Amino acid sequence: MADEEAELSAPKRAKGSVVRLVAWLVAVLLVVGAGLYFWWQQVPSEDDLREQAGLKGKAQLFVGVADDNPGVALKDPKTGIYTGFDIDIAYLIAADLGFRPNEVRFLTIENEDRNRMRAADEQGHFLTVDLVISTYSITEERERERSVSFSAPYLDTEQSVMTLKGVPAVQDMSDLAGKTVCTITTSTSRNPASDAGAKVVGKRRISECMPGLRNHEFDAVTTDAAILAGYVALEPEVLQHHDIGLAVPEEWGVNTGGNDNLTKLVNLSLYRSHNDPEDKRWEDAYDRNLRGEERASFPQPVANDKQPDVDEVEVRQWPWERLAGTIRPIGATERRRRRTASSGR
Amino acid sequence: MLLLVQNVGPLDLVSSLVITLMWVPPVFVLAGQALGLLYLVSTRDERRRRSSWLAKTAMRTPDWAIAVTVMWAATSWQLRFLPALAMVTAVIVGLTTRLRNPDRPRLIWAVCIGLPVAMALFEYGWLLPAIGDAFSHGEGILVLILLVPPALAPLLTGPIPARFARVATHAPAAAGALLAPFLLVAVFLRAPVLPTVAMELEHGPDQQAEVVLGSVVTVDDTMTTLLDNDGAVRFVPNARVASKVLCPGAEAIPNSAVEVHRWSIERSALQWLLPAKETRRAKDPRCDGRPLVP
Repeated sequence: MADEEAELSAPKRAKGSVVRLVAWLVAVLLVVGAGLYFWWQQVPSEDDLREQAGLKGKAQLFVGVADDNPGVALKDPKTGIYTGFDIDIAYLIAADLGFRPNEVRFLTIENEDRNRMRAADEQGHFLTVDLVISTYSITEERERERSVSFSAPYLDTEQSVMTLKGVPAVQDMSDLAGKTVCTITTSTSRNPASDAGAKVVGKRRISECMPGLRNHEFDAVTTDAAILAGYVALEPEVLQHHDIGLAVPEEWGVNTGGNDNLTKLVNLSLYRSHNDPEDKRWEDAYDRNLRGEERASFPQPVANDKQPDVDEVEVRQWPWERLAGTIRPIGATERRRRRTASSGR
Repeated sequence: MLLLVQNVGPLDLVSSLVITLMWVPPVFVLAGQALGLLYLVSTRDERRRRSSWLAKTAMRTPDWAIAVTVMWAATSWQLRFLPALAMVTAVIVGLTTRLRNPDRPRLIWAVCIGLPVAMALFEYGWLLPAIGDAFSHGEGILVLILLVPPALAPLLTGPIPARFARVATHAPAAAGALLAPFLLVAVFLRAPVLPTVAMELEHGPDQQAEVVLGSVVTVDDTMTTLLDNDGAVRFVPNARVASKVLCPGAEAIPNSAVEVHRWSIERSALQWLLPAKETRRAKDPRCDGRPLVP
């Protein structure tokens, strides 16, 4: 009787012991695997990122900016001081990188040099800058270049058109068919204008379009609304801003020249500025520079007055440095709003 | 390395060794005991039992030694490995009971199934918010190591098929024993021995300020010897040093933001009990290589 019972339960016991063997294998693999994973997992800390980006021991941060965009980046020819939204954003990012305001050096960069990161100083020597914050719109074509790596966007604006006052309202690009339109040579604004049938004249700088507009050589000037709004706000009785309703957004980003660690640090700075409720630096920069231009540009909005969303950056931080209430999966791939119709711009 | 060993006191090196490697011995002791007991429970053959080094070690280890080792592990292991510790402890207790009381099925059931299940329930109750946090952060491995060991524990407290018993227990034990020295060396080499210091040097009015970052090896009355971050040795005359500051190391910053009742998942009970010396100072520009006054 006892033997029969033992025989009946023997297969059960055998099955039970095979299950146990599998369980043991799983347990050993899990513990050893987890141990190795935690050992190898090396998410860099902010300090590590600064060292890998080459910022340790740097005496000055060189930033390439424009110098002829009122409200965005304007250089006073007498004092040599730069003012504008791009300048304030540069100070914001530099402070988070560990550079105090007088350790930041601004250099004028031409539009066509923004992807090469080369700017000239006052003596005419060319230097490679560390960051380019110069109304540089994020596009797929630009990102493909080796020396261009964009951070998350720091301003959302759109393309618009400026004419002399008294011209009938331009509601769409096609209203400019057959007219002469001035824009910047390397700009994203070129293609929409030429596709609509306008005669496009390219200049190196937007300020070079202004004399032609005043003496009726050009019928209109087109580029990003945030740039044109500055000109319109200076002379609201002479110039007029038109809302052409192009759906494609112009997102301005910081070019870090292929330095991925620096890109992460810039994104961390923008992320904190966006998510920390006590950090009002972006909002103050907007209010100081672009808010006052809204009235003269009406009905064309100058730009989106909220800072664009920034994805969380994977970095090791102390618990008190993490921002409360912003739990998102770390390592989510960075979303970039792709310009679907802009493969050639 | 020679410079370091010659100048850093032996007491500093040994204490650094002890502090960084304190969590390692329980790993080997408990794993070895568990595997040895598993082998003893799985084979009935007396001859094989006697010929196994693992089984002999497991039988000779007294109970109080295991108890002390478990308490040692509980204080020195990080919180995220405590469910695994509970699993190993439950396995050792269950297998020992099975070995010593083969003819008391109710006791065996209570200790081998009942106890691990009760422990699992307690652990899940305590760790559930942390598991949820880890899941929402996307930290898969952390979720697995908190969730799976308590669930596996009831399954591990019995014999495995006798055919595989020798291989399944002796292979991991032998591998562990062979790799142990390399593991110890790797852990030790990663440990920081010296603190990082930033020294700002005196400079003339038109020279640029210079800040040296490195670990101080030795200071005497005329010279400071530094091992800088590139591994080069620098000798700086004390007269040239304008100011010094201690830079916090980044090694202590946790990788994971998950907490269990405000206790970071990457800290051990010992670190939690000791007074916290977390620095919340503003970042000093000298630690970035720039002078204090720009």
